[in-house]
Amino acid sequence: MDNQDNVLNVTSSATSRKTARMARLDGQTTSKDSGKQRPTQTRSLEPGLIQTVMKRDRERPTSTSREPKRQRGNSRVTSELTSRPRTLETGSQTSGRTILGVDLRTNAIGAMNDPGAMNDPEAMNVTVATHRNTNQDIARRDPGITTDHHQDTIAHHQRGKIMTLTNTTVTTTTRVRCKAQVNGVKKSNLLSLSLTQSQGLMSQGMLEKEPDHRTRTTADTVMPAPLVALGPNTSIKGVELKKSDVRAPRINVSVHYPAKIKPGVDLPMNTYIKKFDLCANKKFDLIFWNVVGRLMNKIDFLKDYMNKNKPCIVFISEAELKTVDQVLACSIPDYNIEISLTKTIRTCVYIKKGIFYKRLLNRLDQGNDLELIGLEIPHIRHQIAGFYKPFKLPSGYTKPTYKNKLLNSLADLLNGTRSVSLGGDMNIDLSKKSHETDDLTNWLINNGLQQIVKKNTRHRLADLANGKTRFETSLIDHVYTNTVGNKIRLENTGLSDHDIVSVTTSLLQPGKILKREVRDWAKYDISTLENKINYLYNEDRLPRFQLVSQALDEIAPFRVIKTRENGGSIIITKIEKSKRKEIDNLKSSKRQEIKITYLKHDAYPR
Amino acid sequence: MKAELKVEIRRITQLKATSSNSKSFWNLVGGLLGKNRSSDNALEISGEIITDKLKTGITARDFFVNKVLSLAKLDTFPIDINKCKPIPPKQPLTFNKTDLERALKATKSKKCFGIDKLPLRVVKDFASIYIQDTLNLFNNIAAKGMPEDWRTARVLPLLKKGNRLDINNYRPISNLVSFGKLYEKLVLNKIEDETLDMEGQWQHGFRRNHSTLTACLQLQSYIAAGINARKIVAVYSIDLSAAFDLLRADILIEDLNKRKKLSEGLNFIILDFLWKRKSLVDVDGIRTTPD
Repeated sequence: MDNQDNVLNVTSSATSRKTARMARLDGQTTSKDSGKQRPTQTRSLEPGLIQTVMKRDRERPTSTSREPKRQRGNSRVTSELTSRPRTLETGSQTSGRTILGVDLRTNAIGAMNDPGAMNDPEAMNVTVATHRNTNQDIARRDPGITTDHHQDTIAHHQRGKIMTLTNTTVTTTTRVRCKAQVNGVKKSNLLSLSLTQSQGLMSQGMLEKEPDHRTRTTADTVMPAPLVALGPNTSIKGVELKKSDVRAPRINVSVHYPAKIKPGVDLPMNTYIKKFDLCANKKFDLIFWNVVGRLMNKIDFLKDYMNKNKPCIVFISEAELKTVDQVLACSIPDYNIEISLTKTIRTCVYIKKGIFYKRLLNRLDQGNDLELIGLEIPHIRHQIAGFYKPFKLPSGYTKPTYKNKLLNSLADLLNGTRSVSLGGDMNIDLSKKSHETDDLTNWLINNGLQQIVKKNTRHRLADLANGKTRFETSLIDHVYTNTVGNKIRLENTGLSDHDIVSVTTSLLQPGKILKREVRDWAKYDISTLENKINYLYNEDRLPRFQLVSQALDEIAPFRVIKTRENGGSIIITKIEKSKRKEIDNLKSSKRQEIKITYLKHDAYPR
Repeated sequence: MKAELKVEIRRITQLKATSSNSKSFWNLVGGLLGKNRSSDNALEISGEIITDKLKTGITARDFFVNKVLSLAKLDTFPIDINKCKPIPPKQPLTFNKTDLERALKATKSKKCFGIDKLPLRVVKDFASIYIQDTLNLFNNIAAKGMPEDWRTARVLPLLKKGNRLDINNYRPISNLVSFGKLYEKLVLNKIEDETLDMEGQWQHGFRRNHSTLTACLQLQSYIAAGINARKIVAVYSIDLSAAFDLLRADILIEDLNKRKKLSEGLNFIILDFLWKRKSLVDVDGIRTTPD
């Protein structure tokens, strides 16, 4: 909210109004010229503060007066509006780090405001303006959906000022499908990106309200989602919503980078390869590694390692990517990067470019406390998740509550009953027996999974109180899967006390597509055949038996149908479960048998 | 476990898992586990894997034809081609309405079609509507001979067992033209009428009310009778490879006529049916030239 007030304050002053107008004009021209001109309004402001401009409606020019127009059928909005203006003036100038993105499930624009980075000189402030009409339309269409967040944005629009996409105002666009356009990267200082492909960072409160069916409808349109991390001093201009589809308008966003900054992240939106030939290889390499400490220090090693081995997906825990710059620096060519949604980003994933994937958002984790990244690769019907259970838990959690939440959300991810592989640092030592390990094994059995890492993965010299050291090993890096034929390789690097756990998953091929020619018998009948043959006979005067095939082709024409062979791996988990049940039943029945014989012996002595 | 699988399969596929036919059920399970997959239309010949459908079809056709030819070369008895050649008869066989109705009743409507892509169901419908047209057609053929298309069979290679790439593991299944099938049924009835008392005492194949079971029973009773009479019993069995492919028309006709003199029209039909047979291989709708 601080951030929001800040931005509004800037524009509410007299000088900034002028600049806002200029910028608006500027934004309009630059959107045509694909951003050849630089925005002039940023020069008058302090570095680190970016202002954005909302395009006004041509029919109803925005009133500069503070008294807003009353909106139809929404009395709550007006009450909100009247309380707004005071806070605008008293807002202090602060800057915060904001990462912008689009939620994959809802396709909503989101931005995360990090108040912790306020004093950071490199921190940036990103604001986005949208067309005000869309929101009003949405509100008019179904006023039932208006939330408090929604009212906020409508208030801003009513004032004809700026809308900021912070946690509070995300909600407006949850009803909007955004698709960004890429303006070419000809100039070195201009980078454009498409927001549909970016990572979603939005308040979890909204996710709750999103119905499930919506995620399914948008699944086809969702593209791979590398991180959209905006560098410092970025501004977003030329924002416009096209009302081609009321339900799914389009937002064009172009991002302006200052000339000096050349971000390391290549943002290759819209260039994913659909047919990544995973199935031909029948192998899928996954890597889980706890780097211990900062990933920045070990990125060179990781680059070399990934160049050599070329894994498909790499999960890193304890990455500690605190700023956007660090994320940019940790980018690796030929890989997309995804980060966790927590405030202290401690896990990240590298995904090979060309793999068509979908980010799975955790529905149970409302506050974004879990270090958990879930991916789905629809092409091979495989779900993957990487997790990290830290020693230092976030506030408000105890060890069991955090563990339960993590396990529950993992189970929620694999609700689709498909082939799954989950992995990461669980911080539960499976080489020793405890109540924690029992709970974990129970959970695994209930979900039809098995832990496939058998050797110890962590080796270190522990300092004792008397000044001596002791060598300790433990099995805390786990991989849970329901697939068959996995190969595990452990590699010890000097950089971390955790081994690199690499898993090659053999994947069953999805069924082949077969084409077949089939007749459409819907209209066939003896009488129609007779009529057809008579008709043809009257025309051609050929022998009637020669006309049969021609008549049949006209009545029941051939049609090519595509069928898919049944691939494997669908019911393997279920079979395994039932097998386990059978074995358990057998064991229990054996015990019972012994008891019964004993009783019989007593009851009927010879 | 079967019940659980049933539930699962019903949920996933919504197929006919509920039917009481256990064979179809386990077929479905096998399909879901990826066991019964159709052939990949690839063959390995002298170390090279051929994936082109036309090429695989040609190689399969040549293989099937050469197999029969190489076996035929082993036959030392010289073939008299003059005896095999069909000569149009002076008094051809004729079919009437009752013959056709009888044949229509006997033919199944679900049979795989040949090169004409015409299902037997439609042919039956046609024959029931235009009785005179079909009778004219069949009587013409009985007098003059079969058309060229009726002689060519559409062969589908079917995997027996083992390696998919090895052509030796395939069995040729030939399908004939649908009109021809109806004609065959008509002719069969005629043959049965004429050679009613000519069937061998020991024949159980291709004979009404006979099967392998009756063959076993007859053999068993024969052996038992021998043992009862305190005789030495020995069983000697042989298997003929490609017996029907190597059928000699000249010997067949000679043998049939030795037992009972067949009519001129029926003789012509049998010889005409076996004269200059051809086959083409169909791989996923792509066909080779007939050979």
